[in-house]
Amino acid sequence: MTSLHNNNKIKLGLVIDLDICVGCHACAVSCKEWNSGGHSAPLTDLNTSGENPDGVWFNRVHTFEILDEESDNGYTLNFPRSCLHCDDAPCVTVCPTGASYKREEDGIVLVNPDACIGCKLCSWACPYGAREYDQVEKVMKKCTLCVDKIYNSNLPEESRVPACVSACPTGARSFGDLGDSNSQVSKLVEERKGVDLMPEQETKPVNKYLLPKRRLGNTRNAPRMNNFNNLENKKLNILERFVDKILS
Amino acid sequence: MHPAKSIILFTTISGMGYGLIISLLIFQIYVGHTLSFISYFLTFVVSMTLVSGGLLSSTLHLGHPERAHFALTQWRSSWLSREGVFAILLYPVIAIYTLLFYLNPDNRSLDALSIIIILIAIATIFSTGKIYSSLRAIYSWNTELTTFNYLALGGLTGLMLFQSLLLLMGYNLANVYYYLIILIIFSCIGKILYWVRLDLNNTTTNKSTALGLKSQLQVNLLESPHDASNFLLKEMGYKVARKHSKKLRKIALLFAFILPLLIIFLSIVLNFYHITILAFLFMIMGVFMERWLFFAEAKHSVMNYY
Repeated sequence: MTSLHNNNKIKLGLVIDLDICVGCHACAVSCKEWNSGGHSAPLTDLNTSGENPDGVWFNRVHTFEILDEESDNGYTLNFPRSCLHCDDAPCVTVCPTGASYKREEDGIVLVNPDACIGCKLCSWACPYGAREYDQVEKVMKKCTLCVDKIYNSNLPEESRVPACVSACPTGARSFGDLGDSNSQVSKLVEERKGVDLMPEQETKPVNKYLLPKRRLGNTRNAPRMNNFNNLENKKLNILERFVDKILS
Repeated sequence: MHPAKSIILFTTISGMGYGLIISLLIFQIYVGHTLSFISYFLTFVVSMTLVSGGLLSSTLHLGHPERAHFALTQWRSSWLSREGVFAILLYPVIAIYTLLFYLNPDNRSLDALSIIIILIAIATIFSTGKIYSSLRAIYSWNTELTTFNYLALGGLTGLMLFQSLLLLMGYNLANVYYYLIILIIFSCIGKILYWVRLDLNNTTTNKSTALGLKSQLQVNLLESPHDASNFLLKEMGYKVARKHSKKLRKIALLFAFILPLLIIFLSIVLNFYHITILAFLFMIMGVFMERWLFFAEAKHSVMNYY
């Protein structure tokens, strides 16, 4: 059923601390490894040794440079992007077949691969690009929050967290119940004023992000912050100025 | 957004088919069954071919067409599902109408059935428009102007085709031209308003909100998560048209609205109505381009991460 029930008490999700994420991609790789054999397996890869490799990943780590022109602060931001298991998940309500659903018991958003017709509308509806289409299986795939790991009683209790959380070497990823205001993750979000991504899209994400704390010391431009695109910042010699003048 | 040929074909062709059904049945009610059954039946076959061809074409872009019937189950929440339900519903109702019309062409109580069919056809195009206009992640589509454009262009191309078919079957009704002129003007205004809104780019989603940053900062991608392309970039990262969009829009407006309008005026002045078939051909080309631009110009919010 692709209508949302909106009454989950338990909201399992992740809290991602962008202050300590070092952008090592361990979460993304670990996710790929676990889920290649998990609930939505396989995560098909195409042309792996060719020029244009392609494949399904549930987690993608972007690195941005952020420049605050007002305070002249610059910093690098590593940003892991994955499904936020939204309370108001637009990917679920657009699904015509009922393949896309949000679990009532814990709020995890999943795809039933046997009912998916591969129309891709859910990937259009998700503002975050959390869903990736499997060109070989011809169904939509997405983060399962490692539903087959977090409830797996064959694993020791400390391992019953999503693969990305197990893998993170800096402890930037925390997993827990964000519907319980007394849980560790909820307290962390409250303490650090965790934020939603694109709150204006009104998807009510369960996953929260913790922004970098205010930097101490010399906060002027981070090493990569010089704007090399702007020629006027550079001192040009006569020849360069001449070429620049002709070309522009 | 990537302009998939199957979806462009589906939305234009089936929109025109539904527009033709609506035009045909309104004509039946208005003029009182003056069409011979053969003329009715020919128009009916053309419209059903367009509608069914469009539906088949739309299933071509599915990963699992053999499961397409599942798509009829979620009409409570999904506009795509509603579109499917209305599309299927039309077939038995119009089949009954056609049979009853065949048995008794003078049966005016059939008008009630016509109205039901017209409403189903409108509901189908409306649902198609709603599929796109309800997507908040794509600013350019997230407006009721999108739904209006789908309805207006479906109705317009349908009526234009109906007019051409009437001419070919030896009917000539001056009234139809006035409705055509009005529809062309309304559709054209709707499309221009759509583009004006698109250019205003009044979206609150940007690179800063995408990262949860409170104030709007300068955000540049330093390292992409992947070197090669991926599904997201192929499906949502289509950029070719945006470079030439202004020129292409003018061409689309010219072919879809301005040339057909001029030809219709000319045909009235010259009292030579058969040249309106040319107007139909121009209009189809223009609407194809309009639909291509509809996809190619649309920017998805995920591109804020790239």
